[in-house]
Amino acid sequence: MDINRYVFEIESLRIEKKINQDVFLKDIVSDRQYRRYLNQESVMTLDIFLKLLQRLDYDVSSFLTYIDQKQLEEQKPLLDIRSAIIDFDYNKAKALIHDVKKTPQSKEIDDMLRLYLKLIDFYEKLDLNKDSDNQKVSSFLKETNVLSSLQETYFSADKFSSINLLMNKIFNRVEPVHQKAFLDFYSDFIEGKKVVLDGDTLENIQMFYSYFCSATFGRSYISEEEAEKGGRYIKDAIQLTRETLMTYNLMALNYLNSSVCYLHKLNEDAKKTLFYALMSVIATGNHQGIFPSFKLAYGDVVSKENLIQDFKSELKRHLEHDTKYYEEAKEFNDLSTCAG
Amino acid sequence: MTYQHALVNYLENYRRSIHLTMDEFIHDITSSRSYYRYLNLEQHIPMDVLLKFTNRYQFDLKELLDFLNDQPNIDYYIARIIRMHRLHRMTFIDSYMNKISPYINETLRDALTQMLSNNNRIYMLEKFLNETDINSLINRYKKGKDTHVILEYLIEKGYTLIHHSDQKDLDTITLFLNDVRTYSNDRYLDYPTTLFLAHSGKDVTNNITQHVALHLFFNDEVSFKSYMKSLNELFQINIDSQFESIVQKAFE
Repeated sequence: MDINRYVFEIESLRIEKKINQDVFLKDIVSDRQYRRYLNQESVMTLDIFLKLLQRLDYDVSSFLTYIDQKQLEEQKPLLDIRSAIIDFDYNKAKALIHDVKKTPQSKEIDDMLRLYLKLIDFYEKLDLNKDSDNQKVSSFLKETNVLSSLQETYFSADKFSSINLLMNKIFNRVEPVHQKAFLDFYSDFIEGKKVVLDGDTLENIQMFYSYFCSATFGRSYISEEEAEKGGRYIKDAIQLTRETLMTYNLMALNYLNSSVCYLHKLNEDAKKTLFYALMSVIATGNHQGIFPSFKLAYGDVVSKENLIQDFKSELKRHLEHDTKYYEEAKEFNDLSTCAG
Repeated sequence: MTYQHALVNYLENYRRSIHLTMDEFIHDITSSRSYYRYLNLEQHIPMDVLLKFTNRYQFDLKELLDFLNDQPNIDYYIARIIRMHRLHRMTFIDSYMNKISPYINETLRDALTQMLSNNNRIYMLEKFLNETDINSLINRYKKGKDTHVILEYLIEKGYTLIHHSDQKDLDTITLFLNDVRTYSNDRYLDYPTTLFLAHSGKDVTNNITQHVALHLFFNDEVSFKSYMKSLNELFQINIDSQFESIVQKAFE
């Protein structure tokens, strides 16, 4: 954010509120100095900035929220692209990227769009050629420097979420040693060894747990101890959503839980969590985009006939009994029992 | 310079934690001489220098200044109290109340306590916002003021309007909430918005299906079974068969 934008917005708000300039500046800064700020000949101090905000009846938080609101309009196309990628809606993402690229963008945005296009290409051609998949994954790791950034201690919410997006898309294809690096990365947040500096604290905690669980169960081999820890954290993470209200996390957690339960023949819990996982996909409003990847993933652990049958019988159970999600979730089997 | 005192302390702690020398830390941002003067509170820190630090080390300025501020974000916590109250998740309300109690005036504290006993959230919100006109509130939201509480007010207001004959206000609220939720991480907003959209007659089947799916996770009071029954009757659709057909189509 450019300081000139702050000065410009302060002056616009003053005019909008029809506050006389002398009254506005009285005992804070001289007219002459204020004009120098407006003409970009001088830069206001934090102290003066805060005093002027107060005179406009703003505090830092509401002023920056106001600027965020105004900037949102400019950022909407990029946010739409990101959402489409997260929702697996790659055709929409490609069309949106094409639109954004029609106008010149900063280098940073250009780089991000290029990475998005590569991720889409990777996903669309996934499994057609294993060697090419592996090459693409290596190139993602190299290009984004993600592995070395996992070693850092402090992360902005933006950076943390970029790592999560990448991890989500390529995790199953990275080498076991790198999978372990992602797992340790999330574990460090839970244990307080790493910190996300901004964003909603509560939501950040939820994400640490959820991504840790995804990284645990997404690996090709996990030890009994890891399975136990992962199983415990899944239940913890589900209970955390009572406060964070993050439905996307519920979708991921229930999906993980049900796949592991199917894999280990814990069919009753598998059915229950399957129902919740599929309902949380419908709850996103984009089931058409998300279900194809679920179909692929569940294909490894349960037949489609059984899956449909299990969903129907669970739906029936919920229609016949007064069920409560968080109470049922508390009763899920401890996955440690099936780790062997 | 109280703010600056906390700020420079924060910067210095951060610098030490990432093991940078002072020269490395301030390189291309400011001179050593000026930095020492900020540290010693002999000179006010200019905003461009502060922004260079936030850009270089990827702090979010709002979060950083909020963090340095002792006072919790009242707007945020009041909104959380309202939301958790609506969701009947009372266990969280006490801790939110404790957080903000020392910083709110007696009138507001009384209004909150009253709301917890009489469940009249609209009254409490109107007292806090001191305004009821929907368009003015939307405008206030766009100005960055009381954004969290305004969202909760509009949700509450929307619920009171869904059976109202005049749909104009509900449409205004729905349109606004729909835009906010599209660009927000706050997925709870989908829950009331999909219901309001269905009541406004927009893409009823899809919105109600999504809404009922969200109900499973967002309502601890009315069971899925009874809620689905009441909405089936109200909207004259068979939501359970919708769920079956979505899953059938997706996995066949």
